[in-house]
Amino acid sequence: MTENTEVHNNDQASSHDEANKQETGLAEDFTNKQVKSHQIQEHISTKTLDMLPLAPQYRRINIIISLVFGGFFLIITYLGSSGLFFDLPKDAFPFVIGAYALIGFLTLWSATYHFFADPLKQYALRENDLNYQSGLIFRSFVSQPILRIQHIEIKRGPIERRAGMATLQVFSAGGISYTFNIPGLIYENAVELRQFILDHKDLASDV
Amino acid sequence: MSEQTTAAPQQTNSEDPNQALVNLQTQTWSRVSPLAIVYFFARTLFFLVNNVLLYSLPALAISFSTIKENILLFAAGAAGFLLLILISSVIKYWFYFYKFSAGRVEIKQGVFQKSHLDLPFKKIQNVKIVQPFYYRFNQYSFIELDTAGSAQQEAKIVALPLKLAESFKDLILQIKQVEQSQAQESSILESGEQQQQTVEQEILLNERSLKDLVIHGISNNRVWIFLGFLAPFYGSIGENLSSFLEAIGLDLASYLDYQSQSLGLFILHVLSLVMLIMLVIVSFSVIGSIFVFYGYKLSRQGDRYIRRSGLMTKHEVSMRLSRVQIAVQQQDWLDVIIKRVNLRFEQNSSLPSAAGQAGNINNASKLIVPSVTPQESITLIQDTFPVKDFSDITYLPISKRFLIRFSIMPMMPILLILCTMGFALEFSLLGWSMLGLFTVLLGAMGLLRWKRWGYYFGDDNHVYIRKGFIGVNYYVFPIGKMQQIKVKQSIFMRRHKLADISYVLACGGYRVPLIPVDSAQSQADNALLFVEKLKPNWM
Repeated sequence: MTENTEVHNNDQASSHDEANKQETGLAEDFTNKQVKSHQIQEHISTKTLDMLPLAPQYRRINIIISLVFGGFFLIITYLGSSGLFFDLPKDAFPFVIGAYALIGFLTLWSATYHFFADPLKQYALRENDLNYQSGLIFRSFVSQPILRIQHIEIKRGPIERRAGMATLQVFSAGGISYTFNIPGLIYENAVELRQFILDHKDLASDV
Repeated sequence: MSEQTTAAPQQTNSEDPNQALVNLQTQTWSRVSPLAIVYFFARTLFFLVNNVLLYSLPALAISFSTIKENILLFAAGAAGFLLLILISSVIKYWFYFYKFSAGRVEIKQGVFQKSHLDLPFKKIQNVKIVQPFYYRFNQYSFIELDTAGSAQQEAKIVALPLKLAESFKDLILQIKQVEQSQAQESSILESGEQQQQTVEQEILLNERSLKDLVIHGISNNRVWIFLGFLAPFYGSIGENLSSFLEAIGLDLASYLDYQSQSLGLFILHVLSLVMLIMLVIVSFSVIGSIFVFYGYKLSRQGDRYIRRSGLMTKHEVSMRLSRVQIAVQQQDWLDVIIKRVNLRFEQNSSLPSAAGQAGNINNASKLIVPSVTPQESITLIQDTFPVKDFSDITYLPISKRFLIRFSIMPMMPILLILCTMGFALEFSLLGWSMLGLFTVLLGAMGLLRWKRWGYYFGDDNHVYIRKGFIGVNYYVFPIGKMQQIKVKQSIFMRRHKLADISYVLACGGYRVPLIPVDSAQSQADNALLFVEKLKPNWM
């Protein structure tokens, strides 16, 4: 990749670089700047990364899915309790109300959660690692060095394809429960990210 | 995609693998052979038989008479079902493509959920050519590509001509060999002739005497090893146990008859029986420990640890020094009293050799040194990693807020359930006071947990973690073994400037909760810098 070589030739030390130099001097002669839609931004600490948002339609689609699922279960409950197919016991009425309330609550909860939590899902690509932040109450920030990536997968369900989105999965030796996963990427961005990783010189090394 | 490509790599067998790689490349997507339909069909069928049919057999047996009456209808149903599987197999085949391009394997598959996998040749650890019986007739096979990632994540190409599969395997092995010889050349250049001499010598690092194994059996529960050994004889033991007890003059029924004896005597009887059972269990555990660890020898040959032990079956586990991910020094409460520890070196838990044996004490992914003294343990660890003695380290404590988290997470639900039970069953005063005692004990556990949990990031190359309840466990690993790193913070933690940090290694994740957020972030930054700049080998 051309950007890659450009970055390495760029000797300008930024203020962030200075701040992160350690006593050991390990940070000298090393850059790990952010790669943001083909423009290199100068960052070295994960603290100061400019996080990029997911596809703008990601939240909308998640909310719609929540509502559709909720509606689907409401219809099933309605049909089930309507007496069209089988007769309910007489004292079942409170349970039916309870079921409506539960479905309504879960649907609203899920939709509200997506409304607030989805914009917090953000990612950032640097020269040497992928970073992903997520979580409303528990915010987690995961960093995956490209050096440690074993293989990459782009997954797209029918809705994601319709919406032009994709999920990028990156597998390391950390095992299946630590798969690095970015959902709701714009498909072209996912392909770009994959290409960046595949072209990265570290991926060819066997460490 | 048949004759030309299969012949190409063979011609270039002795040449540069990169050239062979170019020859194997296909710029376009290829479909596998239609035989893949058979593979998909068989796989779906096996899955259904294993996971659905076996469990629904009882239901089928009950409705057998109904089935018998409508045999034609049932057969039609089964045939329709098989047809559905067949159609889905055809569709799966139709949407399955692969490509060998520019140094990597690509696989595109999926009908609804589409996936596109990229696997660089250099990350392939092992190529397995599998020929199920339905491929035997026509020289076809499927290949499984193992990476250093989890065993479940391996990529499969489902129907390739055997020749093509074999030449692909040759190519991958060639790439590996060229890399290895290059690596060897450079290391020989570095260390000269010294290396060749040390490779041959095997140095004995540790030996365990019978006394050590008895201690290990007492302090660690190894009963299951012995029970596992006895498993084939369970039936006859059960039959003979009661007659054996009668023969030695012990009638369990009258011995434990609650009505015919005083309460004091009854309690005494129960206690002595419990003691007897404990004694039996401990001696079984000692036997189990001797079974596995008899003649234990840990030695080092060049860059390789070798563990040999076993009474009946001799086991030999060897582990490359460079593959050791973490050293764990474990000390349970009994170990604390007798001042012994168990040492464990762990390597990549998802290696093909380690898969399928999880939990097994002879698991190749773990190297256990049973019941050594703390001094021996640290000597062994320092032989592997250049680390400090654990007793020389001042571990930093995690935040006291851990106690709040502990009381919310495991404690509150447990107490809530117990209290509900208490109200429902109308506990007596004794019951409630027992519950109170239990709560105090649980709280004490939380306090101990907090007290034990410590970390030390002062070493530039290693991370030290201490945790435990009554016993103490020490974890130490090189930062360079890190695969992934995670910093987590809840909104409550943000207010107190705290965060959790998790290091993911090839043998699992290791977390330190509730440390200052600045420390967690700079630690994560340092670890990333270390790994990405110095590119330390983890395998």
